[in-house]
Amino acid sequence: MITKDGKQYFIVDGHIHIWDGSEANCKNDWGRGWTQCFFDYHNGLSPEEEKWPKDRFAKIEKEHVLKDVLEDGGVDVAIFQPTVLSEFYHTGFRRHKEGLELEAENPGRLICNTAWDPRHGDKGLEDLERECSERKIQGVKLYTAEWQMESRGYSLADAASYRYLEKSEELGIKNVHIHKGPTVWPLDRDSFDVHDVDHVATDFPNLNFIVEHIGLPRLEDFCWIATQESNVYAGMAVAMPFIHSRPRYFGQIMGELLYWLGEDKILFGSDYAIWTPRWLIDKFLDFDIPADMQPEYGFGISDVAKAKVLGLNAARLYDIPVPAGVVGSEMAGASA
Amino acid sequence: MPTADLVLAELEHVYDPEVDEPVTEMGFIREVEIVGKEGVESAVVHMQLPQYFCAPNFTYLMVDDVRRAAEKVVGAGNVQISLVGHFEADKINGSVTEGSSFTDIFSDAAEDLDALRDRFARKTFLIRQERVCKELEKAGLGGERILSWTMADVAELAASTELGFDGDLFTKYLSTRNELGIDTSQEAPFLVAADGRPVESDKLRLHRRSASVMAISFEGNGMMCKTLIAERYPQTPGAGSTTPSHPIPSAGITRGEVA
Repeated sequence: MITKDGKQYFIVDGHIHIWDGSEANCKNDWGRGWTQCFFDYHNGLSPEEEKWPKDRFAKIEKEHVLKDVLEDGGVDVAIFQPTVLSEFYHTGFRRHKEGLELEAENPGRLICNTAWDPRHGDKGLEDLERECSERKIQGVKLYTAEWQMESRGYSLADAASYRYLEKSEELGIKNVHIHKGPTVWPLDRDSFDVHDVDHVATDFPNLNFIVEHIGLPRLEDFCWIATQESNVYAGMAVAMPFIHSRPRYFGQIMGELLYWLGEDKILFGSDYAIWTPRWLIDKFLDFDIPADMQPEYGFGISDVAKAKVLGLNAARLYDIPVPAGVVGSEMAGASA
Repeated sequence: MPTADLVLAELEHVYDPEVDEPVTEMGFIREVEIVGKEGVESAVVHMQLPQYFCAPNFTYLMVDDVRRAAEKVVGAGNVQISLVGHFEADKINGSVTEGSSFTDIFSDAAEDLDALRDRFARKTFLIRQERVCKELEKAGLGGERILSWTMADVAELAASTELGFDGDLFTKYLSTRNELGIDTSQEAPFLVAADGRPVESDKLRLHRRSASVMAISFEGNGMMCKTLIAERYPQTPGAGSTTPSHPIPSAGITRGEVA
């Protein structure tokens, strides 16, 4: 919970990681390239006082997550979005075991989403069923542009993807987070192309599709499909830090998202540990679309809109109880 | 006699298709070397990109455009590209230098680069058009009236000194419009869709908002690329603002670079 001007805000960070991108875990230059790229994002867009040395950045420990996200971060609930990358790192990029431990040790505070890949066929479906029998899973993270063996990525509109989406729905996984952004091993498939989301959003009206990184270099395509489909959401990870380095640009992004999607469809995400959440949240609470830009959009950002973006929207998708008294709680059906 | 500066001047006309800015301003050109004896010079263009995993299709497009531009100075077949720090650098360098196509080296590519190039040229077209619309608005000539302007009208407004119109924006718009083969005659409507058809009055707001959000995408991509390249190659002179006119000492480039 974060208090600003006497008002309390309930915070859900919809996009965090616990990873091991350290040199010791790198299998090859691809792994090194990946870690370095993340580190460049971190250094390029963090305020000076929030920058870490590379070794602190490269491997994230459980206690770091607790301190950076929940304690210092003021985050009430955070959601892990796993990035597997077993071809790059000996034990994978995400620290799966540690993520599950954190979820079990901090009930209601940390949620560990799963990952699937339709190219894993029947075996993958069986694994998913088994995982869902072991713990409650509400969300999945997908990388559609990832290479695998001979495959140069897949589309959500493929028949194989439909089997997995059907199975997910059956198992109670209702939030599908799709990485549309900078990608590993991209080739000619435009890794930012969001058109496949359009198809599945229509065909799976009971699932929510959260487009991570708001398909940023293809924001226009994303806004367009999100306007057509009521179950498509904007995941703000990677777009958030512009609030510090390019606040006017961030104002334009928010203006467009509010114009096309509306305040109920935007989800805050820090992409921890690329960025720590606290400064992003504080700056967002202080933020408004610059006055001279407001005529173009015809609005600013209200406190309630901020509360929805920072927590209430994700709370709705993940059935997270919202305490009474926080900004916007009357709309979120506060628990008590 | 061909010089590095002449080659660099040509490279200023090579644009990053996802950003609509010259590769020289993006910090993608590390150095241009002229090698060989007088009369048989060739150019070696050293390139760098913001990420180890920049998409090979866009990378190939830019690298190939760089080759063509440099050939205007040193002649066909006399350009060698040396891209560093990219996961497919060897393949791309070899094929562009030898003149093989993208699909030759990436045989499983699904979309040919001409289609990709066309798609992004049309986005660029709409963005450049929207920038002119914003200028018209600033001059108090916006709103519904934009629908009635012809190319000749806007050309005249753009040339007017009283309005303070940034005429360069219109020139850029005109050049993409020409490249795409969209009618540029005097009486042709100024505001047209990406396929060249006039915009209907009930679509005006949607057309302009779409172009606006496209411009935001391009701008964001550009900022991200410049930010990352400045982190990765801090020695790049003003990564993103100035043109490197002399060799960059490669010994200084350590931070961030991946072998």
